[in-house]
Order: sequence, then structure tokens, then C-alpha cells
Amino acid sequence: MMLPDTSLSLLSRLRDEGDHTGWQVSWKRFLELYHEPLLAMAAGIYRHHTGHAVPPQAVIEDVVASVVVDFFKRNRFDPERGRLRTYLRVLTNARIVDMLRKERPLNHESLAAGENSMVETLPSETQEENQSFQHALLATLIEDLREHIPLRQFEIFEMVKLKGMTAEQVAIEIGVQRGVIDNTIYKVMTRLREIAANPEYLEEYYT
Amino acid sequence: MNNPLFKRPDEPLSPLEDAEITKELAEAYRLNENCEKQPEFQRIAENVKQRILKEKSLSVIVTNP
Repeated sequence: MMLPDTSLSLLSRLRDEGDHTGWQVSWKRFLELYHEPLLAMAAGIYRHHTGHAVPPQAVIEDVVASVVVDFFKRNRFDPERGRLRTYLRVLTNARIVDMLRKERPLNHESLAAGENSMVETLPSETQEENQSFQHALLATLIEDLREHIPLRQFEIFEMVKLKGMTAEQVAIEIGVQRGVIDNTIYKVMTRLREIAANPEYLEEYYT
Repeated sequence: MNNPLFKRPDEPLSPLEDAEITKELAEAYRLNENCEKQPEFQRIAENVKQRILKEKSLSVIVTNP
């Protein structure tokens, strides 16, 4: 089955084995879009496994970097098989457990049995994590929209809907009638809602 | 709470729903556009870059021992 041409499905094919430049551009964009939810995930999972200890910032950032590299190295995310947020949570949980295992004092070997269940059982999603993931998803949706409409339409949408300029200001700035701006916004919003109606987005957005 | 952005595209949006969508999108856009300036983001990006460079040098060593 052909995957729909959305940013979410593109995430599953981001890594180009032969093109190192492509890989670099892709991870940077992915990090821009998803570093906030990954930070929230890592902090929440760390707190869960340590009895609500405050996670050191350097540790959390290191886990996020490691998850991003894992995501591209493994290259196994498939939106048809599961949700992106679950996949990222599994990777993040595994990295946190690895890190806690390394930090464990040598005389705590008896924790080993418990560690297996730490890897297998995902902690519940925190509210902060959910909200942060929803923002990342909306930013992905905007990215998706940018690829599906003419640049001029996107620029008008960006100025009015994302940067808060009035339709009148934009009409003067680009030298068109006010009606052109209203029509463009209507068209773009319709396109945006069509893209958002993709089941991938619905499933990812709602927990 | 349901986000009106995900209502069926053929169902009309009320002005209130349209304003709600605009607010959410603008917030997501703002956070995303400004992230590169954050020191936290820059540190993580550098960390990823170093890890990728290490991966690549390791793969070169494995391929050409």
C-alpha cells in the first residue's frame, strides 16, 4: 500500500544511506520539530524510574541526542505499524534504563530482574509531554502544508495566521486587494484541514 | 478536549473555532521557529553531530580495517 505523502510518513524514509548531507539535514529538521517532546519524555521517564528524582539537565540532553541518532540509525519507524510518539517513548525509555544501569553502584546487582520490567513497561505519558508532542505535531502539519501549496499562498498564510498580521496589512505589503488575502486564507485553511484529516495525524494527536 | 482543526474538513468552522486553531498553530510555529536560538537546542544538536561523526568513523574503521 502506498503511504500518504505527509511529513509523518516521510519520517520513516528520512535516512538516505548514500547521502550523508541528506542525513544531516534530516536529523536537524527532526530535532527542531521533536526536541521539546523528547526532552519532556526523557524527564518524565527518568522521574518515573528513579522515584521522582530531579533529572540532571545534561543527562536528559544526552538521552535526547542518543534517541535522535537511534531513530535514524535503526530507521524502523513505520506509521502503518504504530504511532510515532509510542516509538519515540520506547527508544527514550530504553536509553534511560541503559543510563541508569550504567550509573548503578556495583553492589546493586540484585536490581537486574527489575530492570527488565523497566524496559518492557512504558510509564504513563505526562501532561507536559502530551502538550509538547501536540505542539510538535502542529509544527509538522505546518511543514507538511508548506510542501503541498504554492509558496505565495504559504507566505500569505504565514503572515496572517502564524505571525498575526491583519489581512489589510498583508494586502498593502504585497500589493493585492484585501479579497485576494481572504480567498487565499480560506483555500489554505481548507487544505490544512484536509491534511490534518489524515488518520496518522488524528491518531498521533489524541492520546 | 477536541481540537477543531481535526474536525471533518467539510464541516464549517465557527469564528471561535477558527480563532482557537489560529492561536494553537501560531504558538507551535513560534516555538519551532525560535528553537535554534536556544542554548539547550544547540547543545543537543552538537551532541547529535558528534555522535553521527563517531558512528561514521567507526563504520569507516569496520569497512577498512
